[in-house]
Amino acid sequence: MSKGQQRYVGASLTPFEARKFVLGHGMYIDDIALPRLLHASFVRSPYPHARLRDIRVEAACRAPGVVAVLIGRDLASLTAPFRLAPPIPGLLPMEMTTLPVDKVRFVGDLVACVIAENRYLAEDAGELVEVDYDPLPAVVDPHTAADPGQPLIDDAVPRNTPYHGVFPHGDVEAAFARADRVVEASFSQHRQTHAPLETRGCVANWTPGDDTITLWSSTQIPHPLRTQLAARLGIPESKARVITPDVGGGFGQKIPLYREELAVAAASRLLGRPIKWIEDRRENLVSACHAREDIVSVQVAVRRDGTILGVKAHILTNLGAYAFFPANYMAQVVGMMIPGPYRFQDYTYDVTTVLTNKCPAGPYRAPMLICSWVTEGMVDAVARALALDPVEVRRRNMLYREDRQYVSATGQRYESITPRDTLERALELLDYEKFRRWQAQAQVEGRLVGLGICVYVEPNTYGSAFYRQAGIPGSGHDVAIVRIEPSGAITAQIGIVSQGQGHLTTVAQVLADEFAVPIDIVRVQAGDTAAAPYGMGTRGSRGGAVSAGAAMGAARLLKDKLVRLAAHLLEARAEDLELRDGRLQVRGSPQSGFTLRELAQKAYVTPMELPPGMEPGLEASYAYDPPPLTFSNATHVCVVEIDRETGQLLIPRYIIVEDCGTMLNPRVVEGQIHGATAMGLAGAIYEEVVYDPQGQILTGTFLDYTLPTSCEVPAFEIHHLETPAPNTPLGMRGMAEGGVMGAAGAVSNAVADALAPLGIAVDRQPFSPRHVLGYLREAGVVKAS
Amino acid sequence: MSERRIIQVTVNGIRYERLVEPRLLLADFLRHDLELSGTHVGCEHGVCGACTVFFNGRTVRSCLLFAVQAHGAEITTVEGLIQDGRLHPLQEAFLEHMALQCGFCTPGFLLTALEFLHEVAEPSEAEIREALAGNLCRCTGYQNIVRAVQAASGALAAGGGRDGE
Repeated sequence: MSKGQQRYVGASLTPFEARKFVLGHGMYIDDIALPRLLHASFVRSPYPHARLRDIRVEAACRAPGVVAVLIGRDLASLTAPFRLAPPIPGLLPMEMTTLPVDKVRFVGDLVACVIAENRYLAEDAGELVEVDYDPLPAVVDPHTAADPGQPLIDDAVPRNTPYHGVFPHGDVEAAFARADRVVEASFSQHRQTHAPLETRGCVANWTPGDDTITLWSSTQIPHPLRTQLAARLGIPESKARVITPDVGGGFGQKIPLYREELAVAAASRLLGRPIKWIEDRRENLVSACHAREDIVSVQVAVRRDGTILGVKAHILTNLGAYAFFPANYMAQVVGMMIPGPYRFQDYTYDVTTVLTNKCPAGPYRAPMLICSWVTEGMVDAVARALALDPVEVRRRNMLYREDRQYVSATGQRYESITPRDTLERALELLDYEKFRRWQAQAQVEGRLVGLGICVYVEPNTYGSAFYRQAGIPGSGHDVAIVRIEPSGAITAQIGIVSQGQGHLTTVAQVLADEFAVPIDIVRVQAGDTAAAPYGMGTRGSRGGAVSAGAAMGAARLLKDKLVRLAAHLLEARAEDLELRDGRLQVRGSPQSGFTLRELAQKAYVTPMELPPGMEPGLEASYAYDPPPLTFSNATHVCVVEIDRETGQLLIPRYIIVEDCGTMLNPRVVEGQIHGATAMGLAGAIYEEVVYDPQGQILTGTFLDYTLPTSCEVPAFEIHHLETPAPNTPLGMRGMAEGGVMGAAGAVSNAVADALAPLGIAVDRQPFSPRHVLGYLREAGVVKAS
Repeated sequence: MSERRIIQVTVNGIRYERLVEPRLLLADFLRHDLELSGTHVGCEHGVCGACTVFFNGRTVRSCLLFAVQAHGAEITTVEGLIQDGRLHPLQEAFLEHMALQCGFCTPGFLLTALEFLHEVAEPSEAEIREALAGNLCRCTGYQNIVRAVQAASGALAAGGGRDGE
């Protein structure tokens, strides 16, 4: 059966989902209205670490409009605690109650849940909850969190260290023994938060009598969320339903079953009424998962000519006060990806995770982010130490196109990636030699200008084999159900969900081509666990690849059935048939054959005409398990100029050459590149979660946690290479996190390049004006104020 | 319980009369009392711009106003941009250039851009970026939004538009 015309795959279409959004008809959590709806508000700890000696709720319960006030002890009798104990060597088990019972562990930690007729009244009543706190000393600095004598944040975790692991590859000591020099560098990435424009929220609706619960959740993972929800509530999973409405951004923050959601679900069951919770922005900045507080130091063994012989890396990561994820989870991928696009095979890394009295950390778009700064930063450090051109050092060490199936130092199998191609193309677009001449002249004039190059390899898609290899429980498959309706229209349900990535449209593009029909009769839906097949969620840049792969698989099962049916009806051989323009016909004879509608009518309405043994109906389900990892790669080149007086960073030019394999929808891909790159620059330059030394968070509004606007984010020049993956349908690779990796690495290297002539080593982010001035002051370039 | 007040507000050309508490935010009034949920709340402190609406002909942040302040006012929300079933050229441009992904910031951007295009006929890219700097987007990196506004200004200049306000 021929593949048919490719009309939609590869086309730049604006997702159909966008149309309702420009009309203002999106349906996000806070837009949901139900009869008898109640509203939840949470009382939160003002202390970073304190025992909860007593909580008195009588006054709050009597406040106008209040229906109930629940505290940790109440919820402990309604729900099971969360125990995280995957069998990973070096990882300590951790347990978390639904709401804290004995003590609170960070500013913003949960103390009580108030349920009232409306949000205003719930917040009023929250102020009447009386709490006796016994403040405890707080642990804030990850460098000292494990020191002897520090207060324990979790009694089950000695030295506040839930994880430590060492991962040797090759023979790093031999590499160091052969070296001409050892170059050292360190990288301190600051705490950030995802700040999706829509905050977290849910509506929980327990139906008394039915004894079922429906949870609308602004989540990225409806099915795993349902599994956890049912287990925590102690009900059969079949009696729980999760519905994901429109989601105003997730970026990884909307993955855990948050304690607030579980509390609201339990409260709905207790009260027999639907309850809505939507956090405000302060809560989101203070208590929704944070991310990225990682510190890495490296020693790089090199030959005089710039060849990297071996690397030792030490990774310290700050998990915050609770484990919503296994403590090795995100740091492990940092270690795994430090080799990046380079050939060195002798490499040892160690990972230490500590707890502190800060908001718990979770994965945030490219959770391994620091690795691209580390990899490309250490290459630049090597170049400076050896007085070599950083481009030459890259060329000397980088994989070539000929390395089609390269196994990295950490055992990652790269299939036909193109880092060298993207690097050369980016340098050509920049006119590298010309830039260096311009830079030299500008520096003579006293200007602080720099060039940052970041060549990254982005792991994504994460098939089941990856989880097995990494010792993390979980699967990477995903599922699609495709149905041809009696009218010949095509509907599909997929397991992932979207937060603006346009999956419903990209999958429709694939299906329209598979069935050779106009795309407007194809409709793809997702997000309701009652209808959608069990999926593993949208994260890890997997959504496009897995959903398209699953949809294609289901479509091909249906096409096989259509062919057998048509062959039977036409008394023709299957090999002589083709699917063309929505008709299944004898090849080259459009007057023969049947439309999809005609075949569907047989299948649904007159099944006695089907061949013996063929089931009525036209529906197929397919689970696609991608390779353990697919890899995209790109080169980002960032030109930076630093204003000596204000510390402001200007970015006069930014070039991206990206290869993410076959692009199902280039417009969607570019949108992801823009957004990811902007997010990477935002994090590296403007954003910073700040806690004072006592553990009080100082960044609770958008005036403190600053996101860049259209005036700060530059325009990007984007160029594509398209090297299909050899081991996925259509040659797709995942993408959408890489831009963050490229941006953070490129701008960090650009700042380092700009400040290097002043003898300043750039070892910490962010590069906000006050921090850049800090660097200049340290070097004596700017007088301390 | 504070005393409720009766307010009369015209929204997207329709007159409403409601009883409200003085402390009820205009954004909450539009979204929940009038059930016009297209206006979104992103920060409740006037920075993100998701709650932008037209108030007597000028854009305002509806999270920074009380409903009682809207008594007698004429308001346009994103739901009011469509006329006779036809999208406004700005809405068309947003779709054509994919100036949105998750859609949460979009209503605020549309209204801000609309006001700007009424004021400036052929804006440069720099002028557009400046005009939009009061609205935050977390998904798009702004580039497509700027392109869409540029394209819409061309469409409106060519006489393809009519005012949404």
